Amino acid sequence: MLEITHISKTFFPNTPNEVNALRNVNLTLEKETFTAVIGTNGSGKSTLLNAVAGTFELDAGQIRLAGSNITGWPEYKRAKLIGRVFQNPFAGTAAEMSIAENVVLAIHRGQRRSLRTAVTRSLREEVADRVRSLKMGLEDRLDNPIGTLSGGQRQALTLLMATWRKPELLLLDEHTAALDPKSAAKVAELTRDIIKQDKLTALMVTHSMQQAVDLPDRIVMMHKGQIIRDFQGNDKRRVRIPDLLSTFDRVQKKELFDESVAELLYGAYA
Amino acid sequence: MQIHHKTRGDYLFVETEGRLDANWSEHFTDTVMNFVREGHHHLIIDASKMVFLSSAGIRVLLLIFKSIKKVEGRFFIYNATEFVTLTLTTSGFGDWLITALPGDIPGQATSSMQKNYEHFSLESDKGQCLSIHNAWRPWKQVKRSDIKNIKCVDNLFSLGIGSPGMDNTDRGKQFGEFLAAAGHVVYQHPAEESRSDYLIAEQAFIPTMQCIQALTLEGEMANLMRFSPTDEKRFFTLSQIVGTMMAETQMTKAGLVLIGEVEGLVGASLIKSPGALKADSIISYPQIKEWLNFSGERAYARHQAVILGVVSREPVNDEQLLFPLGPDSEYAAHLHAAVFPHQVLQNGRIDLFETLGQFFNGPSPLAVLHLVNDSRPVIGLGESALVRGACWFAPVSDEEVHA
Repeated sequence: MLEITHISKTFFPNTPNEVNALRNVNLTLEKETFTAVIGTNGSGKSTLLNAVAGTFELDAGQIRLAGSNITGWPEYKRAKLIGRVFQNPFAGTAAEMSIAENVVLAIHRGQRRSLRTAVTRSLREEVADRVRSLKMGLEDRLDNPIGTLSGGQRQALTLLMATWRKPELLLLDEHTAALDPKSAAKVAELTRDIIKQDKLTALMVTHSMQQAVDLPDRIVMMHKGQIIRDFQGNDKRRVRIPDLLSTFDRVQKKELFDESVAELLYGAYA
Repeated sequence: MQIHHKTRGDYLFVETEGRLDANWSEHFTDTVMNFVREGHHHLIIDASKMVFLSSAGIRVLLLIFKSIKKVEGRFFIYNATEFVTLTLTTSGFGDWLITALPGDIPGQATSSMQKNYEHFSLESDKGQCLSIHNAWRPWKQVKRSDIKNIKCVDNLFSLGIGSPGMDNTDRGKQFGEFLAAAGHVVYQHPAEESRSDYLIAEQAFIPTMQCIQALTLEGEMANLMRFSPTDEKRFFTLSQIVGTMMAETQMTKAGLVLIGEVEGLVGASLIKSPGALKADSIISYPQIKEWLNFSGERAYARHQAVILGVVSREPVNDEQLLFPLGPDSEYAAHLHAAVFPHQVLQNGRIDLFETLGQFFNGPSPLAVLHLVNDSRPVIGLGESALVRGACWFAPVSDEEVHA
């Protein structure tokens, strides 16, 4: 379970470039739930994900994960509990190393390592089995450098690596945004299957309304560093893309609603 | 594909050159349906230079054919090439093909629609009875005695703020803008993301609205005014439409139902029910943002709207729930618009009840707006406007106000 309580972050404070990226954000993710975060550019959705991952220090607030207060933990320490998939398929893997070697590195993530054979026969068979489940034919290419794979194949493998140890929390940062539509659909499908099968708790940032409607159990909408809408339960079940677009539209209209509009409408509702 | 067009009498000639296939079918549909929207309901597709027709092409021809058949239009494919003729004949659409033009077509191209307005006097010479219920005024707490039940029967036209249903259990949360016309009710649920809902009178069922504000008209419509774009005039503001109909009939106060294609609507709606007010309140800025939604732009272009309301040449009168219609307009009005996805509106003299029936039995309504004239200097959006449509109206001959 993830508990985010009253977190705030301002970048470049007291400068002309000051950005209030997170403003008193509260969010609790129940165990084994899948939540999508959507929002316009600069709404704070990726900053929220990075706050959980420990990319920067918070100005205020607390983050608890699986019973531990991880607010002060550095990024590498949080990695024991958190799996991450980034937007760039080339992030999170070592291009020159083989598929098997990359996967084995992920298997031992957060554990003490020693000088011994990394890819043992039994481990190799286990890797081949899991890679086969991707249905991409990669089980026959375990010795190929991962850098030779397409973006979609590499992102599917990254997803597998990030979830191998069944992390307490899986963070997906627009992980299909840099892929072609067909690969994006495949990776989205894999994401849903893996999260469901492994009963993971996941937080996904996405720009894709379709993914936000199709994949998760819950949709959180952010704007200007705040959560402005939370679709869950019955609300989430009935929500469709036009509803999300209309909510964005409503937010924008609300911003345009100034005192002159108020004066106008006082006249029309006299 | 190249598409050229010219008007010949009542017909629009659409010359198509090239392939009508999957690659071009959407472009072809958009272009031709634009002509249909402008009121060209008799189409002749000149296929003498159409070199290929695929099933995707036949599909869009069928779509266009069905759209204009609904409004009693005519559709022909003229002088088709051998391949197109064979394709249409063998797939069962040979009836569309002609090799000689209908006899009523002029030999030369003519200028397209020349008249902006066309007025029809209907049989009824009776006026309408207007009943105004304005028990609730913003932003007073709603009392039980403020609520009036209005049964939305066939000969009744009503607009205001109300809640559907007859039970009293949840009504305090539900008051939103509505309009009711000939047994059809469209209602905007007062919530930020809510969709508009509708009720249709069927057999013994008569929709009932519990209203805290309502302008209700009973009686028949005495006039029909059609308005259509020309090259010189592409759209009509509500002030222009109302000004023309009132001037032509010398009316000072009228009830109207207007159905037309939207150029842009400017309006507002409640997003929180007045029933939620715990006491008489003064809701100032910025709290007002939690109560009202403003369109913020000229919205719903290319959609269809059913607009219902009361217009008056008399001075603006809050008691009668009338507000300025347009900039420098001599008219006051209270108008609500129900927005629908586009449906083709038949030309000429059409029946109000049949046309309303077509709209309400088609795709669901998208929104209900209380139309406002945004007269703010420089940044104002102006007033709502329509491209083409039909307006039924009648003088208000009797009037009563219930405060």
